[in-house]
Amino acid sequence: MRINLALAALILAFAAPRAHALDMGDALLKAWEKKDAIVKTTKALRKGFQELSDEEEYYIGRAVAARILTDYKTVADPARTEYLNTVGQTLALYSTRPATFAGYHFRIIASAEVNAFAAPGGFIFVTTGLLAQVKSEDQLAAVLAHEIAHVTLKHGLGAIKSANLTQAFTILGTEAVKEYSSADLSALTTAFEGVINDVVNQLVVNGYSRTQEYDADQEAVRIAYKAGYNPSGLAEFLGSLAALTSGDSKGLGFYKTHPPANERKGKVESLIAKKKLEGAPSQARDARFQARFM
Amino acid sequence: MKRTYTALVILLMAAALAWAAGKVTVIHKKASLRADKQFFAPTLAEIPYQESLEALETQNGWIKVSYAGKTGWIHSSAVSGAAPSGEKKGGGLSIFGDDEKKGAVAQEDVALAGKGFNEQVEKQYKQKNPNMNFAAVDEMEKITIPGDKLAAFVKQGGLEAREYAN
Repeated sequence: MRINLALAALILAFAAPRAHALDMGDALLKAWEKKDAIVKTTKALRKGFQELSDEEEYYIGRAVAARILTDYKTVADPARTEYLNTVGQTLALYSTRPATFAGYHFRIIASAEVNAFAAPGGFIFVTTGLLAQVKSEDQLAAVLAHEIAHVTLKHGLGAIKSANLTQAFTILGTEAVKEYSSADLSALTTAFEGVINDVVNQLVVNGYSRTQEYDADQEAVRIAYKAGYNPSGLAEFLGSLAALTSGDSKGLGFYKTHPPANERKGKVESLIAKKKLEGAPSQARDARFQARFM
Repeated sequence: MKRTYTALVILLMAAALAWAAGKVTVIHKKASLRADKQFFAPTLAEIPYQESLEALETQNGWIKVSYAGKTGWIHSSAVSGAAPSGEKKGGGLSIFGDDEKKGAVAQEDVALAGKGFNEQVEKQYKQKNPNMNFAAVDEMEKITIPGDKLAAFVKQGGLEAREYAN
């Protein structure tokens, strides 16, 4: 009896702020049912690229990056590489995805083309040709923020054809396994190859849609502004690009498949005016940029 | 009978309390445990992938946890699971606005851990495509700038975090 009284006191101590102990039991039952619903959701066959996990995005990104780095040589310049990563990793913190599965990493690749690639998961590449057109840290930040935006908006993953995803998701089924049978692994790897081809074709061959580029520009302005950079950096860079494209577009690579630079510049300037975004160049930032790139 | 019922209620309540506290699981390769609720704060420890932690409190997208005898903050984008109730919103300017992912969600990421396109699939892909330059990707992944270096860079460049009204 004494034990029962002690138990009753314990129950009251726990349940008093809420309600009767029986109500608590009901609440727990409801919570348990909710938990079951969550488990059922995760066991349903996945349908779209939005349902890829951060880890899967990372493995796709690694393979896409490996393809890019098979075609392009990296530039072994530790000072510039560290600077690029410092600017890029700072900006990423102000994006909607401050962390990916293994973080954001930036590399300079040797190519005269004015070009940049953002592989899923945060593997970002800029060419020496593009860097030659960048005149300040604020402009560099704008370019990197644009590429980060492609990652956060999952534009690369969006290029995966549904047939390849459906094939993979069907093999994966609904059971969590750590090791696949050789037949499943072989089929899954074939689907994986299809996925990588889809993303590489989008990044390197076809480029993104106009809408995706405008969306990435808009997000780039937001990221750069939040980080404290001059939001006009993107408009300035696009101005330089417009001057290039007005002549021979040879050597512009991927950027010639983007929407016209002048149109993008106009949209960026409208956004800055509409949002009343202020900013100014900085001598400290200009000095450290020039020390590495001029 | 009465005693059994009481014991059952106690057990259920203990489970309910554990539920309310909230567990989170690391869904990234590693999650930095930071001394304060910001990325530029010193790192106390690196928490490995799939580690399950008790969420003690959430504020502005950061979750307070204890790991390896140290208590600090991890960012919610690095974990999945139930956030504890009663999230407090801190005052002042946070570099993470209201549009950021808060409190941890994506229960699916826990269920999918190690599943799908994983290391095993990459290994097979490498065997089929031996020319792919994964070594350069491994090198690229090593480039990480420590938080204190980022903080010094931000300060030296006069970069002040600002809110952006959507």
